Amino acid sequence: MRFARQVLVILAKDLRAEMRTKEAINASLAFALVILLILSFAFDPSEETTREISGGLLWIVFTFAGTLVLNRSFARELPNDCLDALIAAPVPRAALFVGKALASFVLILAVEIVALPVFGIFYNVRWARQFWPLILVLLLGTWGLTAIGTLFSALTVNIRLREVMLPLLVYPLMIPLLLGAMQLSALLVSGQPITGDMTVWLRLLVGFDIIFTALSLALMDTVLMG
Amino acid sequence: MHLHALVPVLAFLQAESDPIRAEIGRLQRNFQGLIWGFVAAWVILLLYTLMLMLRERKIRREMERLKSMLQEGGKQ
Amino acid sequence: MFVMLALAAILLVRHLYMISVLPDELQQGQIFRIIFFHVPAAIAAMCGSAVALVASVLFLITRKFKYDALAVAVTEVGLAFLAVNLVTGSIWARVIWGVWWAWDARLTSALVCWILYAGYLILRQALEEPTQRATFAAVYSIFAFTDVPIVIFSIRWWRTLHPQPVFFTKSGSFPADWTFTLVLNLLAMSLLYAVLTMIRLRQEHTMREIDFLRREAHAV
Repeated sequence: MRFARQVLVILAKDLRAEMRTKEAINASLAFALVILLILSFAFDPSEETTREISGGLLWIVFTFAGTLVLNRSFARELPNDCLDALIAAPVPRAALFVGKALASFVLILAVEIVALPVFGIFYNVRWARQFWPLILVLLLGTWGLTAIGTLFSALTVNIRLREVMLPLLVYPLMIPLLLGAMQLSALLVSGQPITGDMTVWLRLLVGFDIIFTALSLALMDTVLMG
Repeated sequence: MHLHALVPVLAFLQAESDPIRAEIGRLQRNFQGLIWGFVAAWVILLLYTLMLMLRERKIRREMERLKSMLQEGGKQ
Repeated sequence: MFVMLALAAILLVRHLYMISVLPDELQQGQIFRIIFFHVPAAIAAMCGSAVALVASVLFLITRKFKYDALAVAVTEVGLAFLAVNLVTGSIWARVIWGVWWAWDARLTSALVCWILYAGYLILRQALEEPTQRATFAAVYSIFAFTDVPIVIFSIRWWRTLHPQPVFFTKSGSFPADWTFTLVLNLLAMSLLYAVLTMIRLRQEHTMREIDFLRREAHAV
């Protein structure tokens, strides 16, 4: 399929560009670890409170660190008119979106995978009791963040105060999604499975992922053409 | 609801014991809340209308200024 | 438009009269009458956001600036009405629940809705070029609407502190004469909303003219 190949080309390009300088991923990882460290001072490390706040804490870390990666996604294309070249290229904008989104997704996921064990160590929490459900929540939540973040990265690339506008616009939009991810993560980190009442959050996560992806795919063209 | 009917009742009850005083307090707070609520709602709407009026005045002035600028420019 | 203004004025006076001349009070006491502001403001704001969505989509499809003007006007007025909703709700909460705020689904999503529409206005300020501003604002408005269904259905989907739906469900237990007054108030609020939007629309049109004239004036 041509579309798949185009997506892979863009994905590979972005990842290769990132791996050469490692700017975004280093900054993102460092930021994540620093936040984890600082917040560990803010909270009394008694087990119950830690487990209660774990969901919120983890996703604050993931979202802030993720914003660093997402900002770079399109900002990286600004020098040397690479952005214009990308827009002019005979690649459907949808492929451009999916390729870039997947690249950011991989990068943010990498940061999260490293941050989780560090969280476990700093806060003395055994987080892996519901490992696979937690990974699922991580994947779903991160994809939502990435989908909407990539679109808004393109939107804000030429605005003044870009670094501030991206979080300012994206975080409120993401609140329902973040709430779901936080609730589920807190539940899973404390070792309980997702049942009964809590499945509504899972449905919310999936629903928002679908909506954000669909909207971003539809509007990517508009945003790039300006 | 006839508020003026409540006054003599309240005056009478003033003389009574604690639970009734508590109830009166609750009713008063309740009513105060209602008044504050109404005031807040109106104030917000009026503030916004005021903002619109101020903006209207500002853009009217700007319009006049530009029109006169263009007229002078046209004469020259 | 002045007919509408007159109508709105009449209805508003009527609504003031009606609120004070109502028979029953419910268990909550007098404070319950705040519902005549709280609910109509919410309904008006939600309708406004729907109009903003449609206007944004129409702008993206047709590229006609009148839709962009409608979107910003409706959103700005909606921000004021949503503020009325939040503040009256907060006062009501203080009297009944004893707290000014609670983080349940309905309140949180309503607050987020307000923040989103404020963000819409902030985004517009950050963009100077009219076409780009209109396009990006429209895109953002479409995304912002994703919160609105959550605001509306939050009390059905989650257990909330906020009371359950009474009006649009069959199992509502709302006395008929109160319903009539509420509908009247809703009409008054909607008219007010429409009038304010029209004023704002006219201002938007004038500001666009100013932009145009300014460019002409500097060319001369």
